[in-house]
Amino acid sequence: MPLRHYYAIAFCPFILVLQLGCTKATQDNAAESTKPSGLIRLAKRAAVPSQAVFEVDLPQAVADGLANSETLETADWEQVFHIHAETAEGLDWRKLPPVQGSYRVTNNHLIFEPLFALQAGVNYHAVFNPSKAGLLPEGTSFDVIEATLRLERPRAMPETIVSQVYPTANSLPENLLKFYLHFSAPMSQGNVYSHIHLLNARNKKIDLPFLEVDEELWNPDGTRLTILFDPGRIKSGLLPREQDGPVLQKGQSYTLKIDATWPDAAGAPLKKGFTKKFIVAAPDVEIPSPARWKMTAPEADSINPMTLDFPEPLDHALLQRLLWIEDAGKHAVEGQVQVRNSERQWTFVPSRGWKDGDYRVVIGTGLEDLAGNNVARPFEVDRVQRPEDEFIPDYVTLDFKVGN
Amino acid sequence: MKTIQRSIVSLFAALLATIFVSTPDAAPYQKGDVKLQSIGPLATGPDGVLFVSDPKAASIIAIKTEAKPTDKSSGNFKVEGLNAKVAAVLGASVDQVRIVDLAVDSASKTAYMSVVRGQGADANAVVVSVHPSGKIHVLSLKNIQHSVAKLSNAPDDKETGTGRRRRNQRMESITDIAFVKGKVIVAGLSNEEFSSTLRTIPFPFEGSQKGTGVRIFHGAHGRYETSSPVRTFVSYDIAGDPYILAAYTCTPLVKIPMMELKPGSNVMGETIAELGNRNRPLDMIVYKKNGKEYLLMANSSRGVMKITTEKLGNYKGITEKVSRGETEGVPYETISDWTEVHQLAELDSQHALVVRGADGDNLNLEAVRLP
Repeated sequence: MPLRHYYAIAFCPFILVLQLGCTKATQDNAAESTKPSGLIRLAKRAAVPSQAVFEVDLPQAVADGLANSETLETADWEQVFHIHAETAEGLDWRKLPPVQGSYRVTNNHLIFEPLFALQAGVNYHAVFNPSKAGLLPEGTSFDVIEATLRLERPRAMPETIVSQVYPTANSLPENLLKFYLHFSAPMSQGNVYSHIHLLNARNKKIDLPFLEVDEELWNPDGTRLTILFDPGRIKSGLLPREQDGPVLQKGQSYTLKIDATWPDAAGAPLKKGFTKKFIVAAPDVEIPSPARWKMTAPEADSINPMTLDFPEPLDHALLQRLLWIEDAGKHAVEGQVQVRNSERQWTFVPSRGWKDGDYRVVIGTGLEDLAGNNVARPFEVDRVQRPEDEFIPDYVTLDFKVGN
Repeated sequence: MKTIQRSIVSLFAALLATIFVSTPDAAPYQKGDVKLQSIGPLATGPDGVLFVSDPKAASIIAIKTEAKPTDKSSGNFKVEGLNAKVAAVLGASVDQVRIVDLAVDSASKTAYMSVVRGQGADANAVVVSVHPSGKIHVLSLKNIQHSVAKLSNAPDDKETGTGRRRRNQRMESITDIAFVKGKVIVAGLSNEEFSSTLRTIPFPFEGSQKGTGVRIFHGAHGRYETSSPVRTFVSYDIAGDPYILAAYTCTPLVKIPMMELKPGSNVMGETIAELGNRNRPLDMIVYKKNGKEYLLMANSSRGVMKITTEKLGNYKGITEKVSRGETEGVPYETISDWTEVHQLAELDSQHALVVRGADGDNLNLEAVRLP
């Protein structure tokens, strides 16, 4: 297979190379020892240094032998040229399996392409031992070459910040179900709960306030994380609540704290940490009722907003997704939504001017308030008061008229 | 022998939501590349099929593996320093490698693990196979026999209010999958509305079809019903009828008859136990020993529990509150020497394969004789 042209065979300025040529004697000192014809090096794409391949010059005798032999299997090549990642400090890399990848030979170069891009900051130990190929003329041997190569970590400047935390209100119900943490850029994933803390009024960390789900509830871009309070400590009658009580207690104040050490997706820490102080009000057990929303309809021919004012804050994410406007023909009106006033107000500005006529606000019944009560069903249904489920539609609507 | 504490109770009401599941073609498999956007739980099925979940792509991919059946004993299956070895094969530092789930193809005695390499924007979703000899390989996803079931991203994914060009921020994580009597069962958890969905997809995946999405509410004191995400589940039979036994993040253990997981019907699940405070269920398996069936459940802080399923079949749902400290409930036994078990899978009739904590941050993969 030919060497891809876009690999510039060059030493990257970010690559540290510790060459240990001739470090190991061959097994037969009496045999003729031929100096290797080159060094192990990283050949990289100029634009993407991490997609480097390991390359070594093949001694002519090996190249000649290869030309007269069947192609070697990967397992054979692994004997000749193996690369080991230094996975953790203190671990002997020689006892760990080699990095998985593929081999090819071109222009007397042996090339190893790792299956995954190299990780900056990790030492890779490359060992080239052509004697293992079984291709050398009898009585010939080569010194083993070893090299330690590394991509230096690019200097990542802290630029990412926590851009907002929802709900934004400073007074939140005792049975608050979730926070949405918004970041200005994609974040690192996989270890989020160690960076998020809930402190009580005495600045003492509360033990396990959140439901730690391994899946981590990110949006597709990795810029928003959903944090759920432990539902077992919210729900009436469940053992966790019976034993430990609710996480948040009415009348108390708390601080949500996000550490600045949390790395963003580029590996840089946050520019600064984030804190949100709030006090806790009584639990909210009522469903949000659209009948209690105040509607302000716009005038025809304007692009003034259609405004809904709610008596309580609603879920910021669901307000974006489960509320929209349809015209009399039940076609969704295109436009922009904004959520304001501590998630108590929803405004919709159409892309084109309002026409004279009938419209309706469509409300997905999954729309929740801050305590997980949705438009159709409270977070907890009391079966004494509500023995049977009524039919729950997917949507309910509020009609309004646009006129002059 | 202890008994599971119970203080709560009641029947579940379950509201069925119909969710569409479509597949690109009706053939059992097609040959081609699989590109994972993300990776979640795994499950194995008959004839070497491996089910891989890709939550970001809202897909389940069935991969026909090439692993060959073997009769060799697997009791010596042990890989010490599993996480360091997997990291080495992936060419990464150990702190950048996360083992998401473990599944075992009991015919070939091959273990599969879903692994995430990296934590940033360039993270890789990887399936790793581990042979009983200890050899670790990345499963090639190039030009392989596979079949895809696409899960619709929730019943409500309109973005019309803000213009259709705006990207939907909703994602549904997959908390567990299993293959049960010809169906792939998928438990999901949304990053927005607080509801739990259980979907069933017939396998082989066929053309466009309706799957069943069950939103589950569970009870307390026979009075309150709430919704909650399923953390892990397993299937077992009672008098020939298949049931799902689901462990919830907020502690109840619930049984749900599979026969009732039909589009448009209501499902009643029963809370049969609570698993205790400050504890998350991690994984479950069902196995037989001396003619009896048992359930093993790994937990975050309460060790591995062994429960006789015979009791579960006869056990009525918890319907009354018991006073604090009372321990009435489904009996269980804590397996004292099964410590630090994070992942649990059935290896053969005699052994489970577990991922467990060892010295420091080390993880081991090892066969353990079933208790």
